[in-house]
Parts: sequence; C-alpha cells; structure tokens
Amino acid sequence: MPSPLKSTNLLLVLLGLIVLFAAIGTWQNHNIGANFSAANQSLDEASRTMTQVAIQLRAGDGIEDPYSEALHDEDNILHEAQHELVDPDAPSGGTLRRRLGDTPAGFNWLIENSVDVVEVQDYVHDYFARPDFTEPDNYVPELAYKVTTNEDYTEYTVHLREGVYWQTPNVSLCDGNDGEWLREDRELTAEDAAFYFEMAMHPEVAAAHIANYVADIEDVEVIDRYTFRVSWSESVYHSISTVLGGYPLPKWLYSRDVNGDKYDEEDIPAEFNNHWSNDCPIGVGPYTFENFRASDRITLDLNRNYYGDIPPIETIEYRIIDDAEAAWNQLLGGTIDFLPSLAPPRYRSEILDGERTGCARLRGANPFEEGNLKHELIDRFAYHYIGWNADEPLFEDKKVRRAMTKALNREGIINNVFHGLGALQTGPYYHEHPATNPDIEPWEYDLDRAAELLEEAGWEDTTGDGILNKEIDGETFSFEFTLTSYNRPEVRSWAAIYAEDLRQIGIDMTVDPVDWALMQRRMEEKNFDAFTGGWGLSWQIDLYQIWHSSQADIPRGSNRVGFRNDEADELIEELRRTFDQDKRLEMFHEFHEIVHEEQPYTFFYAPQQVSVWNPRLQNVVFQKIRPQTYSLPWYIQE
Amino acid sequence: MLSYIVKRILLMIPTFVVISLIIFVILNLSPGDPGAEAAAEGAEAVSQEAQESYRIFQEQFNLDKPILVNTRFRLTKEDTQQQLETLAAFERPICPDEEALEELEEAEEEVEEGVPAPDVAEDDEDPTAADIPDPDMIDEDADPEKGECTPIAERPSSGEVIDTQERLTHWGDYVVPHLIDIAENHEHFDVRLMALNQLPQNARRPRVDRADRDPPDFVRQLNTEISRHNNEIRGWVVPPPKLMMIAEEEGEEAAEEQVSAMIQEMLDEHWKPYLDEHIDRFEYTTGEKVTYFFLDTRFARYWENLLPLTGVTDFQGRPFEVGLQHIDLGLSTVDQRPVLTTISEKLPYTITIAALAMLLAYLISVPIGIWSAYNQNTRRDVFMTVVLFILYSLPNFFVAVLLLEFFSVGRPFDWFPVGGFMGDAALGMPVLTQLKSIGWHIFLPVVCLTYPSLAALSRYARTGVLEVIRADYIRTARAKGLSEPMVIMKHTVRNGMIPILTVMGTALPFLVSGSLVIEYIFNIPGIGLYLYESIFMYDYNAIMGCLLMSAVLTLVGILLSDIGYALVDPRISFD
Repeated sequence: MPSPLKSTNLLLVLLGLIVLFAAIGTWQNHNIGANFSAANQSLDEASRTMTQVAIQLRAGDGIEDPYSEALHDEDNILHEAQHELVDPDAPSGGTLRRRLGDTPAGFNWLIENSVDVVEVQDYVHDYFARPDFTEPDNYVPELAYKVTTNEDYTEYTVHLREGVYWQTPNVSLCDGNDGEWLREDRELTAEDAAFYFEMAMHPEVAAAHIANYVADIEDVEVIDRYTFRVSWSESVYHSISTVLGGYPLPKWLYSRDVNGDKYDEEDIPAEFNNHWSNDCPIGVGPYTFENFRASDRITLDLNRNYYGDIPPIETIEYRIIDDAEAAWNQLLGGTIDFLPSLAPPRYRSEILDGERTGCARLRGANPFEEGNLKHELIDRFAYHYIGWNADEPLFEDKKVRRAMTKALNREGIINNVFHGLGALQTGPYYHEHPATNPDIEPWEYDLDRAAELLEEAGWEDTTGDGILNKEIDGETFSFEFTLTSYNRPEVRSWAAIYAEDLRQIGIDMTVDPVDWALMQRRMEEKNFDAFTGGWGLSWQIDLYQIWHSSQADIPRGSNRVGFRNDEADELIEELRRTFDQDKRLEMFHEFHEIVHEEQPYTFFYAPQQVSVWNPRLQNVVFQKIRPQTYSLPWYIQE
Repeated sequence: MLSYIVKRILLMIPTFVVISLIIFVILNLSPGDPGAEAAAEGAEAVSQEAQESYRIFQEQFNLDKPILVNTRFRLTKEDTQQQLETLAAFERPICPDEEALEELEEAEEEVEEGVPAPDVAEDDEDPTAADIPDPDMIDEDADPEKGECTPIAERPSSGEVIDTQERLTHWGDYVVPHLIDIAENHEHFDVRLMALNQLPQNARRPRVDRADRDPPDFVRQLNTEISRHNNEIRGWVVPPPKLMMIAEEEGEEAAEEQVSAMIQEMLDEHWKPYLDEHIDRFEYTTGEKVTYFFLDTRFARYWENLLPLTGVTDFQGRPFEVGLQHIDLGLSTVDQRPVLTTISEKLPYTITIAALAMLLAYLISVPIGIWSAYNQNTRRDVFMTVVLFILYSLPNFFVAVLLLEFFSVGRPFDWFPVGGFMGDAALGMPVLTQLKSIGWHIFLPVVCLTYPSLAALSRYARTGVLEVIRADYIRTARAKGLSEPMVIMKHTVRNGMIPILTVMGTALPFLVSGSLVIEYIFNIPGIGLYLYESIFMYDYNAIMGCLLMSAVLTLVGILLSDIGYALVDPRISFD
C-alpha cells in the first residue's frame, strides 16, 4: 500500500502538469488570436474608409432627391422638413456609448412599445412619415413621399419610395437557421405596409396599445407595388397620426418559420406575437440591429444601404446599466459617453452644489467645471398629478378640489424635493405645446385661501378635534382620506410635506405607498380616495380616453377620477372630428380652462431630466419631440 | 454506502417537490400580476385598453388556471348565469327609483345653484356597491320587473365587473355547454346576447408548445388546426354595434326581436352543431375529472416544463397535449425567452466570480485559522479575531460603493474599471488580453464577496485544528521525533480540516445563485442581477428557475458534504 504522502505528491504533480498544459494552450491560443484580431482590425479600417468614400460620393453628386418634387403637389399632405438632421460635413466614424436602464422585453416593433424599444426602433426602422422636429404639427416624408386624402380624411392614399430594401436579420441573435433565403434582396412594398395594418387590427395579435386607434379602419387596400390606400369608417382626427405614424413590417419574414418555410396563412397572427425573429429585428432605417445581449448591451451599426442621409456616427452601443449610480461612475470613468438622465441627487451634488470648497476639494475637481463633462436640461414628455375620486363624497365638490390644489406647495416641492427638475403643470398638455392656454394662471399656494374655500364648501370643525367635518345626507363626515401613492423616495417626501400642510387646515391625510402592480389594480377598481399618478404625453393630443365621461363608467377605464362634464364631453367629441388647426387650438384652450376650474386632478409638475455627455460628442442637439436624444446629427471628435 | 446514497437521492425528490410547491404558491399568491407594465418613473403611457393582450398573455403562461387544484368541471349553469347577470346588470341603465330620482334632481338643482350636491348613493346599505352613476345613465321608462334596468343598490362596482369578466374568461371551455344553453334559453335578451358573444372567447383552444421555435411537424399541424378553429369561431357572434344600429333605425323593440332571431340563427347554424361535434371535449368521465383536478392547474403546467412527458397525447386537448422533447424552465413572462437559455448565458459570469471568491476565501482563511490555533489566546490571536469580525460586520454592498468611489472613478484613484465583466476593447482580442481585462474588472467584486466569509471560515479552521492539536497521536508524533512542520502539515492539519471540507459542500448553491447586490452594483450580467430584475418585473418563471436551481444545488451540496465526511474520516460510516 502506497503511503498517503506519496499519493498526495503524485496528485500534486498531476495538477501541476495540467496547469502547465493549460498555460501553454492558452499562450498558443493567444498568439493565434492576436494575428486574427490584427487582420480583423485592418479589415475594419478598410471598410470604414470605403464608407467614407461612399458618403462623400453621395454628398458630392449633387443630385436632388427625385421625390422632393412631390412635396410641391397641392394635395400632398406632407411638408418639407425645416432642418436637415444630418450635416454632410461632419466627420464620420466612432462609437457612441449610451446608457439604457433596463433590458428591453423584446424587439417586435408592433408589440413592444416601451420608450426604450421605440427609441431603438427610431434608429433601425423608419415610419411612413414623421412629425417635423421643429414644427411637429407637420409631417415630413420618410418612406412615403406623397400622401393624399379626401376632404373628410376618411381615405388616405400613400405612395412609397421605390428601391428601399429590407435589412438582413442577424439570425445568430435569435437562434434562427441561417439560410440563403434571408440574404436575398427584398424590396419594401405596399404589401409590407398593408401587413402592418393587418397585424395591428387582428384580435390575436397582442398590440393593445394601438388597437383602439386602428379600430375605425375599414379597409387597407394595396393598389400597386408601391401604393396603398387606407379607408376609415369615420372621420376622426387621430387617423392622420395613425396612418402616417405607421410603418411597414416585413411580411416575407413574419410569414415564415425559422427554416424559411411558409406558415399557413391562418397561423401568421398567432405566430406573430412570439415570432422567432423578435430578437433579431430588422427595418429599413439608418442603423442595423447588430448585437444584443440581455443585461449587457445593444449594438447598432450604420446601415450602408440606407436610402436617406447617412449619419456620421458609425456604431451606437446601448449599455444596459441598472444602477443609476453605476452609470454615473461609468460616465466619469469614460466607459460611456452619454447619460440620458442623471440621478437627481447627483444633479444636486455635482451641478447645483458643484463648487468644490473645503474638504470636498479632496474628492478631486468637478468634472463640469473642468469641462470634462457637459450637461443640459431637457423636458421629459410626461406630467404628474394627484387624482381626486370625484365619486367620493369628500371630493365631489370642485371647491374642495381647488382647495386641495391651493394647499399643495408645488413650486416649493419642485425646487426642493426635485432639485428644480420640473415645470409647474396646469393642464393635461405638454407645457410648451400651443394647446396650453396662455391666459391660465396656476393656482397659487395659499393655505388661508384653501381654508376659506373649504369653509365655503361647508366644511367646519364642529367636533373640536382639529379635523373638519361636514354633514352629508344626515351622516357626519370628517375630512380624513388616504393618498394611494407610488412607492418612490421622492413621492414619499413630497407627500409628507403635503400631509403636514393639510393638517394645518384641518385635513387628515394618510399616505399609503404601494408598488406599481398593486397601485394599478386599485386604480382599475376605483378603490381609492386620491392617488398620485402620471401620464406620458405626446405631441398629438387625444383627450377622449382620459377625460370623456363615457370612460368613467366602463371597467378599467382611464377616467378613474370620474370626471363628468357635459361641456368637456362636447369639446372632446368635437375635437375628434375637427381638422382645422386654429379651431382645434381654440377648443384645446377652452378645455384647459374647464379642467383648470374643475381641478379633477391637481396638476402637479412636468418632470425634466439632465442629460450629461462627454465632450468627445459634438453637436449634441436635442429635439423638441420624442425621441429627444436622437443622435443622428451628433458626431464624434476624439 | 451505496444504498445510503440511493436512499438520500430518492428522498431528495419529494423534498424538491415540496420546495418547489412552496415557492410556487408564495409567488402566485403575492399581490400584483406578472405582465403588469412597470412604470419606472410613475408615468403611464396613454395606451388603450390592454385587456385583449393581457388575455393572450394569461393564456400563454397558464395564469388563467387555478393554482393547485381544479374543480371547474363541476361548474353549473347557475354559476355561469350568475356571472353573466352581473355583467348585464352593469351594462343596463339605472332604474328610475323614485326616491333616488328625486334626490338626484334636487342635487342637480343644487349644483346649478352652487350648493354642493349630496351624495346620491348614500342611502344604500352598502355605499361601496354602487358607483355614483352618471345621471345620463338613468332610463326613466325602464321597468325593473322585466329586467330592463338595474336598481342602483344592486349595481355592481367596476372592481366586481373586472373580476367577473376575468373569472368567466378563465373558466374557459368548461362552461361552453352552459353558455350555449343560456344563450338559447335565458329570459333576458341582453344576457342571451352576452352569452353568445362570450362563446368564442371560452371555446377557443390555446396553442401548444410555444417555447419551441422549430417544432416538430405534428405540433405544427396541431397549431395550424387550432388557429383555424379559433379564427373560425371568432365570427360566430352578433356584434353589439349591430344592435345599436338597428335600434336607431327601427326602434328598440324591433331591434330586440331581430337580434334575438340572429342569436337563434347563430346557435342553430354554428354553436349547436359545434357542441355535438366536440361533445367529448365538454363531457368528462371520472378518470378525466381526476386528471383535470390535479393536472389542469398552474402548478402541474409548470411541472410540464420540468418533466418532459414524451408521447402522452391529448385527450380533449387539455393536460398534456403534446409531449415535450426537452427539459426547460418555461418562458420568461417578461421577454418570452426560455429561462434556461438565459440562465445558461449568465451562469459563467456568476460562477467565475463566485468560484474565485470561494477559492480566495479558503486560501486566506485556512492558514489564518491554523495560525490562530497555534497562537491560541495570545494577543496576536485576539487582534486577528477582532480584525476579522470588524470585516465580517461591514456590509459588503456598502464597502462595494466605497471601493468604487475611491478606486474607480478617480476620486482619488482610478485603478480599476467601474463595472462590467470585461472591457470593450478586449472583446474579440486574443485570450490573454481578455483574461487580463476580466481579472481587472472582477477584482473589486471578488474582494467584496471574499472578505465577509473570512471570519466564519477561519473560525472553522481554528476549531478544527484545536480539536486535534491536543490529541494523543500528535503527542506521539512529536515523541517519535518528527519535525514540527511534518507534525503540523501531515498530522494536525489534515485531520483538523475535516469540518471545513464539509462546509464546502453547503457553499455549492452560492456558486450559482450569485450575489444580488454585488452584481447589481458592479453591473455584472450574472444570475444575481437576473433574479433582481425578475423580482421587480414579477417574472414568475425566471424567479422559479433561479430559486429551483439553488434548491437543487443545496440538496446536492448537503449530500456531497455528507459523503465527503465518510470519505475523509474513516470513523464515520453510513452502513
């Protein structure tokens, strides 16, 4: 029997040998890899030069876009763009690395409509037409060069560009089988456009966010290879944005399985939701979807066959970084270039209180003072509010609701809790949209006036406990309610301030912070006295869903506060049928006045964000509408 | 020994089932639903009713099934009727209750005069049962006896309506025969119409095996057949707008008559033949009832993923429609990718970091433990103990942030990268460059994972050595003249390390579960970060997947450490 020590030694020697072999193997591998990557690099270099030559050729050829002629047509409802997005003289090349907060759930353009996915879509795909960045009420051509419509906007004829080709999906991202059929040249046709509407309207397709907008479409007809017609059963204003803001979907791809075999026609809608290509999306836009790794990154590469102006930046990398603090660190460390939204506490500590004095100097120089970083405040298209349940006896009187608004120190909270990152909101529109009525003065913070209003409404402290009471239908109510609030630190802080102010005028407010899922459930069941909410905004305004009285009486309706006003209903319905811009503005102003008087919500603030970037990014301009941080005009100068 | 191991492995199976049952039930009972869009900033998108998409989603992830046991085959016509009546009651106008009407009028007048309106619904026994209706909804000619209107006190709240609608849809094809019966025979016309229009929803069949992107032919054929079936029955309804259209043109009574005829026609032409044709789908034998009781549930459906039941064909297209050919952990409810694929993508990151941290922890703490044992109760020992416990009590997420601030972002040092697993420059570079980059990136996370475990491990080592150091055979070894290093290395340490060796087994799950906080702070795309994200998104299947993997490895780890005991220490045997 061998002694235990000997067998141990033998084991050790064996281990040593394995390590040695592994090291040798790695070294050899390394050498091969080094050669390989050197070759790769020179290849990359070559292709970059090629692109530059191509871009310069295209810029220099001086040929007018053959489709710009169509813009002079009388009946074309598209307009010429006010500004060129891309500067042809900008130095091309480079990689833009920007932060993304979450891993997107998928990249089926029609099904996923989170802000992040739409942003990626804006790079990879194009719309039939898009709102002009400087004049968002006008649509400018993208895939369609000409759109005509009849008098009452129930029939749209859309003419598509010829010679636009679909990108090739990178099937390695979606376990697809690489086949020859994927690389064939596929031209964009009216069939693909019709396919978009067909899918959006199909009940088996999980595209609920758009289902109501397309509900009034009667028929989509393909006229020829590049022309299609959309007919509406009714004349509704949102038909413009629904048709022009649509985009083609590659029917040739969605009608086939992973091997390129065609599905049965009846199977296409059901397969669409979960189609194998959802992780390797394609489009016809300025960038291609090159790489995606969950929790890591999304890589977009320049589409060299793009029909429009080719943007200067070669590669866009979305770095997926969950933690806002980690993202800030990466920006400081130079591993990312662009942070769309700086965490508000950092805004306070680095920019507002940025001066380094005393002990703070030990922490090094301020990157903003040194010019190592730049920043700008931009609007986020949303507003936050407190919704009052008008079906509850406490809040059915508009005087009470107005008193609640006057008791909320909005300016103070915006400046102190949100570090000034917000604009006071007075109505349901984006505050710089012309629909906002300029004559409306926000209700001022005034506790005395609020108390007076409550007294006028019949609330009095009859029991002497410091809380107001009122007799309603023989029952005595005391003014106590629960604010169902979204569980976030800043909401908790301002709710505490508000509760304190309300206590001073004899109102007892309990704050109940809950998670989003629970909050949504309570709002759907109308199981609340008051809640904190927020709505995303868009340039195109449709008031129906949130403000029409019919939406207060259906289950899961968005008019959760029970706002019922005949005059407002009339305006909303009329707005749906009116196409004249001046008349629309007038009605918007009128509606704004009504909600201002009624205060169904206490309109609170429109959030702003601070975008921060490394100055190697040049010409960082922000657009007036979404996507505000669209990087097509930006370029990189090392 | 072997029989012991077999026994233990067999015991692991029921343990695992119980563990998974507990996790599953807790997950499913937690408030909130998967699929509810998280609104990070608290602002919702103004999107239109998401109900239809949500239904497709629920069907796909079996969220329409009961959690543990299914008794839906016992549902009666009355149950179904009750749901439909609730829905109909909500749709009907409000009855002209004399008293309420008067009050309402008063209220309206008062509103006009600027006096606050009294609450109309206040007189009800249960004020929450009725939302205060829109005055426009009151139909003054309606007769409550004929069921043309709903008395205000009986009007269901919108919460009830949502629940009822959901319940009815979830009952699926168990209530199809009842629905047909109600659509034909119910006394109220609006209930009949509602029953008919509910039918396509309930009679539809779910698609099978969506996870497989390249399914075998028979699955494909089955799915095509199901699509065809669903598309066909969707048209067998009388859309309510039609009713309104006729009502507008020819008056309500005429409309009712005509639509009644249309309902009857639909039933005779389509639904009754349909019922006859598919009768075996809607009648259940005792055997089927028992099967459905246990198997047509969320829990059993989840197990379907884990246990591929190849070749079990469907009877009535329900429990195990198609045998699955692969084991997986289901699809993620968030990104609809297979959970197993995602986990296997993320596992290497987590394992690398955890294994390095474990290795380092042992390499450092074992010598410390031996050294402490030999210097027992000296000042040096006490000092070392204090240092280790200070480290132990520093929370590593806090230390991680400090380390980043001091050593990464240039305040004052920028020696280490701020996060991630590998630098971008290293991507596609030769192996050594990559290794170097990885080492650079994971240095701080590994430090953060290592130092908290030093205290415990070195205590184990110290106790182990102390136990043997006074044993007779050590004295013997010294007495026979062995050199001190030989005594320590061969006789003391080897015997003293038995306890610490077995602790290793229990650390196994740590290898794969990763660290939620550290991965989050350093942005390492591992299992911990995945679990963290999944919890916030209510991604049941992903959470289940991660937890089950840890559970299995815990069980295996305990078994391994027990076996290890027996192997290393001849005094222990399981026979």
